[in-house]
Amino acid sequence: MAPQHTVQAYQAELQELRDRLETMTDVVYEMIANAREALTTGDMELAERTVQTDHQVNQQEVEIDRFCLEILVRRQSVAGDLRFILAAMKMVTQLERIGDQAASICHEVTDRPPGLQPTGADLVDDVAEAAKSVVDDAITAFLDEDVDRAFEAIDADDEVNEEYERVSRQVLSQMGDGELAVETGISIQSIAKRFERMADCATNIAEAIIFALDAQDIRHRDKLASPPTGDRDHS
Amino acid sequence: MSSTPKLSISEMDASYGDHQVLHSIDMQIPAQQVTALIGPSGCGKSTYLRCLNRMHELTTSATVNGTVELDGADIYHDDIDPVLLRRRIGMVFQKPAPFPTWSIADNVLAGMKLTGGVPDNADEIVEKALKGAALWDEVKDKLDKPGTSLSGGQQQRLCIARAITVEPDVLLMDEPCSAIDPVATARVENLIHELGENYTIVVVTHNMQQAARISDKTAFLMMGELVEFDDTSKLFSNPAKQQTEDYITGKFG
Ligand SMILES: Nc1ncnc2c1ncn2[C@@H]1O[C@H](COP(=O)(O)OP(=O)(O)OP(=O)(O)O)[C@@H](O)[C@H]1O
Ligand SMILES: [Mg+2]
Repeated sequence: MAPQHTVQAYQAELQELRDRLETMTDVVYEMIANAREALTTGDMELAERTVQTDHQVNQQEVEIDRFCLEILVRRQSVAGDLRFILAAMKMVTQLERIGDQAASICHEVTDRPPGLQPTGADLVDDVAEAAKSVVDDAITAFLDEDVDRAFEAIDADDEVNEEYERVSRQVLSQMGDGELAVETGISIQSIAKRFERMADCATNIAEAIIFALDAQDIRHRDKLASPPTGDRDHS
Repeated sequence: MSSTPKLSISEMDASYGDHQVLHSIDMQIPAQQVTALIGPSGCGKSTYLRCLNRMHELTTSATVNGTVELDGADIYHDDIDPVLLRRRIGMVFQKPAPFPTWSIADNVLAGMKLTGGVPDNADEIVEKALKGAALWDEVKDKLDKPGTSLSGGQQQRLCIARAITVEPDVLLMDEPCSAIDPVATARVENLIHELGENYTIVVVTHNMQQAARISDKTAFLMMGELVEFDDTSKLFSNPAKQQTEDYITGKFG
């Protein structure tokens, strides 16, 4: 068992922070899944519900931030604890932004003129899948305290960018050919952009996780441009 | 820091009789900086400090091995007079201990009175030292009152004034704030910070936040061994050793 804090209340606070972050990631994760489903099915009710969920995420951001501040004030955290709390504060900001993107995608669905089919939704499938995979990696990295997984998230972000470029080109060419209405094309383009931004946010989360865990695990990595500072021995 | 260390300690062992308390300590203490010593009770911090100004040997059967160099010269060399050495390496103790019957002014001059005599400009020296110890404004109108008439925090600053009167190179402080209230602590911390510009300070503290606030470098000692010694900001944000991490975050194994 990892060493526990002598002050049990402190230990409990850090655990609670972890739990709250986990709850928030669950909600955001579901928002992404719902946004994708609403896109393909055109389910207005689901889209509407997901937009509402965004308020909950905003609230969670504020509350977790405040909780982090309280811990810092009360415990004057240092070392790994301090890095974890700082990472948590960065993480909630990014999760909130991911939630925003999912809500905005749902707006594209609810704002669609009635009767207009979700044409072209399949065009964003690949970029959505790639973005989801980055978010997956980042969140799993956090839950499992897995630095390798965090690095995978960062690497996988390149793929999202490529997919986004590909969608953009395809949309442009299909609009040029008249296969896609300009209005629909622009909508698809902006949805793709939102998935791409989600992956950027997830990448930021992955970086925050590496920062929090850094002292332990990234010492043997040659991927990093500058050598990591942590050289923790596991004695 | 590029400059040569003020104190250079190598393979230093210290014992009380056959109880070895410090084990092969290697440490370079930088000049004109504040170095904090932290570690669990009984790990050897006070012993370590006392080895740096040869007070350890005042304890019966206490021994030191290895070398301690002040500006490159071995302080344990036969030619060194420990009394004079202690003028260059002063010490401030945990409990402020002014000479009870002596006036504030005489307490400031105590180091000089005990080691050779007070020069003509005694008043000037008293004022300078008390200003240096951030106590002047509070006591300037009652310099002839006994030192013990001051509050605990003032007494501690009086002892710091006493220590800096002889213009030492190095100031060793053993938990200088443990017996005083938060406001007095803040004043003493302020003072340590200011003195650190001109003196080399080594301060033992049990208060981790205090170490983080006042020092440039921090050394973590455990069971008589130096576990980690690094820039304070590094040690408290990203310690290299698991033992350091566990200790400063307040964890037990
Ligand atoms: N005069 C002495 N005679 C014999 N043993 C001593 C003496 N002073 C200290 N010791 C022993 O040396 C060890 C280190 O003591 P030291 O006072 O240096 O620890 P410390 O780190 O300053 O502890 P604390 O934080 O409680 O002040 C302890 O095991 C202590 O029992
Ligand atoms: Mg002690």
